[in-house]
Amino acid sequence: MLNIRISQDLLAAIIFILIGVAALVFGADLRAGTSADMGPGYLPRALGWTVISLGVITGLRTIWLHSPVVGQVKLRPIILILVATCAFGFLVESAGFVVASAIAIFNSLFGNGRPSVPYALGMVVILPAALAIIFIVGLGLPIDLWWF
Amino acid sequence: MIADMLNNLAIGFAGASTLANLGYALVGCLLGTLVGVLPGIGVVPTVAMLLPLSFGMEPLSGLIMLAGIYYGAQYGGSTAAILVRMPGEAGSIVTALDGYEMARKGRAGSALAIAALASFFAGTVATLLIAAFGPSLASLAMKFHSADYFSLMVLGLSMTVVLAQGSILKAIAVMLIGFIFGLVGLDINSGVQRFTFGIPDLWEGVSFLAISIGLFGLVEVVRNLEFPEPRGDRPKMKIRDLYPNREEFRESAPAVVRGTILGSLLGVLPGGGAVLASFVSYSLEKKLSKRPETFGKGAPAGVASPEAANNAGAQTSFVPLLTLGLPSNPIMALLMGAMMIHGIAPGTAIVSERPDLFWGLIASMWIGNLMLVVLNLPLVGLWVRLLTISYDLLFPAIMMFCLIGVYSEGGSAFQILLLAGFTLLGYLLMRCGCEPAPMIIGFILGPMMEENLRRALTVSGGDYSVFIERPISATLLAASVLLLLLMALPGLRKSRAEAFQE
Repeated sequence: MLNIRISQDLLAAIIFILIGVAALVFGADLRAGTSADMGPGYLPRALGWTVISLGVITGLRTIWLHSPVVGQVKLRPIILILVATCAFGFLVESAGFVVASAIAIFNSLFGNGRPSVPYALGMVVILPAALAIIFIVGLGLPIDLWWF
Repeated sequence: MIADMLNNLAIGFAGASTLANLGYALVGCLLGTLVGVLPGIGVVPTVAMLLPLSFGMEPLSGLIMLAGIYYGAQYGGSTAAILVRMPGEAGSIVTALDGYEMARKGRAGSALAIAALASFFAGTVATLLIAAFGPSLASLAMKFHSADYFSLMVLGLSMTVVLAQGSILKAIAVMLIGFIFGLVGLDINSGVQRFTFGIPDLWEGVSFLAISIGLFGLVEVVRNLEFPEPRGDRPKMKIRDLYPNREEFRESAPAVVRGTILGSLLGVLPGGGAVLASFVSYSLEKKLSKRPETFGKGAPAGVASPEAANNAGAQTSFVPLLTLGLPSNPIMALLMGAMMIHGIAPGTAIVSERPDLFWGLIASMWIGNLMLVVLNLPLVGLWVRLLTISYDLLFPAIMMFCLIGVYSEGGSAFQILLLAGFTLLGYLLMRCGCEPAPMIIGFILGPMMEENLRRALTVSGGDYSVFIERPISATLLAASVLLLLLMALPGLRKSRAEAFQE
């Protein structure tokens, strides 16, 4: 559990500014050109600066405009769903669909608290099998079932 | 003109009613209802999740199935709203008010039938309207130059922003961030790679599925795990009397007609008028009713009118997409992405160049609506049982659908990492009170806006006044400015907040 005491608008402002700065930094080597002859960097720059300005306004606005705090963040769901997603991505090519999805599902279950053993066992065994039958055997998606 | 329309509709029905396409429509409707009725899954995540299923198909078949999924999911959402007061999506929030009260009084069957019949009537009328006016709108759009297109898209984006929940400022920023993501990849004009960091998977741009399934699919899973919805009461009532009695019918019929008109008109507006239509039609019926005190306590008109409005609006929201290439809401943006993956560029050319597709899709809209009425009322028992499935069993399957959907498109692990990235971004934005819809619309429209802006300014020699000198463009821009100004007025802002509160 994480308690974020800054306001929603302030967090939004930080995200906007970071993304705007990233657009400017990574787009710095793109030629901007002129409005009659736009280069690939014309809009990235315009958008980068606009998003930064909107971020700054959103941030400054919190001085006089009340915005609710972000509040309690349960870390479990978001982290475990992300872990499950990445695990699937990293494993599916080397370990095959069945193993990769079983591991992803196992991780995701903890996103919802501590799973009971029969429930976890059931989900990890039945769901990958059912999905493999529907998507790979039935619909013919070109994904390897196993690691061999 | 009417002869033309009937002729065109005949072509459409011929294309849409082959055995295979009828089958896809049926599968789409069933899948859509099935997923839409499940607790905690709205229409947009349903469509996003099931989108990849269509990729192996013929374009028309794929679109027919996706449209079926869309209607089915809406229908499923209404069923959940009526039976357990869990509207899966904004469009059925109002339905839940009186629909659930009717269900509690033992009129669940009647409420479901009213909702289904109202939707069917509205769908039929809206389909005819699209057939009648779609082509002329498309030929009007033929006169558009790149400057006009740019301004049209500005109007579309303004509508999206205005109809998004919460702060307009944040919605604009989120939309522009989507625009930036839309620029990733090869710049067609200069042949330069933008923001690709040497990763081949990004050369053709950010995967549309990774961004939409991340923002709408996985973020929903995380949200439902973090904020578990109070379990809907298991409907204890028996679904008997599937037909409304005479009094209910008499009260509903005029409400359905009014809802249909309102929904058809508001649905065309870029920015997602269907939801707005359901709210407006509910309050209209309440004002017109002789017994306004029954509203909120199980008034049949309170179910009939918003359902008709919502469905008519859902149907006519196809108009800007099919005639102008302008997606009016996140679902249309998803369908537009699907069309582009199928190699079809939605827009003015679709009516003249692919009439089979345009009319086939229109015909399939009506077929889909018919199927839903015929199929779903008898299947109500099955949907009731699905409603009671625990989220513990559902969420791993939903997550896997999302992963498989994204992976099946490119078959690369990088797409899955991208999916994780957008899930994290979507989650953070959700916690800041930002809606994801403007981002997906900005993502889809962004590159097209850049193209048109570039072309317009090249022609005008870099002079921005071209946008106010061309009458079409000037009108569209004036409308956008007016819209944003109106929203800045305190009175309207208040009523907008109230509309979202209800």
